Amino acid sequence: MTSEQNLEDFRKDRIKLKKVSNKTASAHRIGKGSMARAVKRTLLPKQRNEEFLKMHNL
Amino acid sequence: MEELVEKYLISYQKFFQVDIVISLLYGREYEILYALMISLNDDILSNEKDLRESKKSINFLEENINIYKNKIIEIFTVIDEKEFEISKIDFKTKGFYLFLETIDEIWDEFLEAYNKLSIYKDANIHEVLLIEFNNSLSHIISYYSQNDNLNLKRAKEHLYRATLDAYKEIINDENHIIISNKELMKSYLEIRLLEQKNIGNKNNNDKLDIIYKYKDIANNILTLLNLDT
Repeated sequence: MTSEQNLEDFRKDRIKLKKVSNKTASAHRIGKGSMARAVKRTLLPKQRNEEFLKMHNL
Repeated sequence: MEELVEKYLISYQKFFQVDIVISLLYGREYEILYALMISLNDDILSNEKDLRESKKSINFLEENINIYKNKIIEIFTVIDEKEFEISKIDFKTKGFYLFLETIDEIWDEFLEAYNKLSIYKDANIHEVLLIEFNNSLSHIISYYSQNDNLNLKRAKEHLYRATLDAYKEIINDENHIIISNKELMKSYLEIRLLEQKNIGNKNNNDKLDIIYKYKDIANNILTLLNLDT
């Protein structure tokens, strides 16, 4: 079996990520008692992110 | 397929290099980490798409990472763009089999836990889990850039950690259900004591066993909340 075929073997039926909402669940383990969490921000234009999600039916 | 995996890893490498500059000040770019997770699942590990479609998706992801990089360069006016040039890693010599094999051993459990937490929280971006995912990928890059195979083990451990964190978050949030249900209380005590006994135990089967037991409790909670998946 060639190396390429070996790699293909890892491609199998997988569960898909479930889209429920665009909300963010913040990290509980981070920031407590150390540093305040900065306001959630994203530098990536929203439509670029949405376009990627659409490509994956999300 | 080799090209695809290499392109994915180079894209992550680019992301990691720029994200580390801004993450301490404003937090990580979770949307891109989420996209990287989707891409690893759908483009590399799943057989649902053909390779051409997967390549298109990874190219798009790479473009998004470049946009992110340019935004950071705009903000950090003192940065010389050359500082963001990624160091060239020879991925091909080690190949991709061990990397994919490592991820494959825990990936389905991780993704299942991620999905359950998404349904429970009604949210798709889980910062804790995505940080662990990021840590896992950073060890994969270290596996290729350094001569230390322990990085593969560490990469897998971060995904174990993320899987456990997802179930523990559900259990922690619904502590009143555990306290008011004798069967769940018994299962909960059993797993906590087992986990304590296993501290330092590196056996993968034992680790998976702990994950299955936490999953069982989380599933019971989700059923009681009518959030079965």
